[in-house]
Amino acid sequence: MNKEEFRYALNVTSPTIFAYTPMGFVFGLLFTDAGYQWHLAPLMSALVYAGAVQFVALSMMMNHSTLLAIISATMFVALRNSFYGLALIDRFKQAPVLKRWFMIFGLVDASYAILTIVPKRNDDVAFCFYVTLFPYISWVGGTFLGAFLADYIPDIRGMYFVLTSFFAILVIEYYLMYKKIDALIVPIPAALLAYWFVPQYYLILAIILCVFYLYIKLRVTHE
Amino acid sequence: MNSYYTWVTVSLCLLIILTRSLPFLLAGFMTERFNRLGKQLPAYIMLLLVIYEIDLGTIFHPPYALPAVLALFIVLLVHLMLKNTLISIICGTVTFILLNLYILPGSV
Repeated sequence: MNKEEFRYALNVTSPTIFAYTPMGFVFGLLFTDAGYQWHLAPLMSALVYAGAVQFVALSMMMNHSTLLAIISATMFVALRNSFYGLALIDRFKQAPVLKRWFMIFGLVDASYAILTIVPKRNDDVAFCFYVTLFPYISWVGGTFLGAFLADYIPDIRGMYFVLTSFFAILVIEYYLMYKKIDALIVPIPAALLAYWFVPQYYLILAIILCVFYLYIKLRVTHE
Repeated sequence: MNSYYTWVTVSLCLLIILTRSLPFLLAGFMTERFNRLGKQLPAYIMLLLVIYEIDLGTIFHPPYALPAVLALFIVLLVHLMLKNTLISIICGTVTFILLNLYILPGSV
């Protein structure tokens, strides 16, 4: 264990730890309130480790969506992570196999942001490993606490609005980041159109409509 | 253990491993356009999820999803002011719960 890299990684990941622990807590709480045994929430966080994907899956599981619908909807959300690795292929190459796979599996928004901003360190493998490990522990640990304490926190009607607010905040954040006004408009007619055709599966149809729109747009504008 | 839970969790685990390792496995296939699609798509999906969470079916009948819309407006205001995810979520959710309890009951 490299103490210097440990400390430096803890330092740069601390904002992430403060963000992931309470979000994990909320996930654990909502998941357990949805009627699942409490230990299943941290288990899911440990195995899946993808905030938005887990919240999407939870909201669809609450509506008893089919496995296929859940996978297709979350696939489009997870797709974003597929591109993170591009910037880090060479950097992760020096790590031993197990560590490398953990770092690839744990490449979330936060670790990606940190690793692309902080240049290579003396003991870079240790640094990359800790930068992956700390957010992972906060997410899983936060979920554990939320699920464990769920019984002591009253189940309030309307609590599920936490999910709605969370998704709405991501809409705002994406807008502030990319300033694409059509991302705030196109999904609305897409949802209405999809709802009109197939009310039961309108989410997935609306997603496909948006993928189609975005693909055409990128093709035409050569942006 | 619940088999629905097991299937969902195991599939999502594999899905995440696959999506995150894709560039390491096949760097050559990751074209620029595909890259941009993946970057911009979540913005559209998140708005769809907001609509999905409100449930489109409820906007055609009283109270026309008003508590949700008002609470989302609070989320927008608070988030633009403070930029703190947790505070925004708490304000939005508390507004929604209070609106449902006292002002526009029966919409949860």
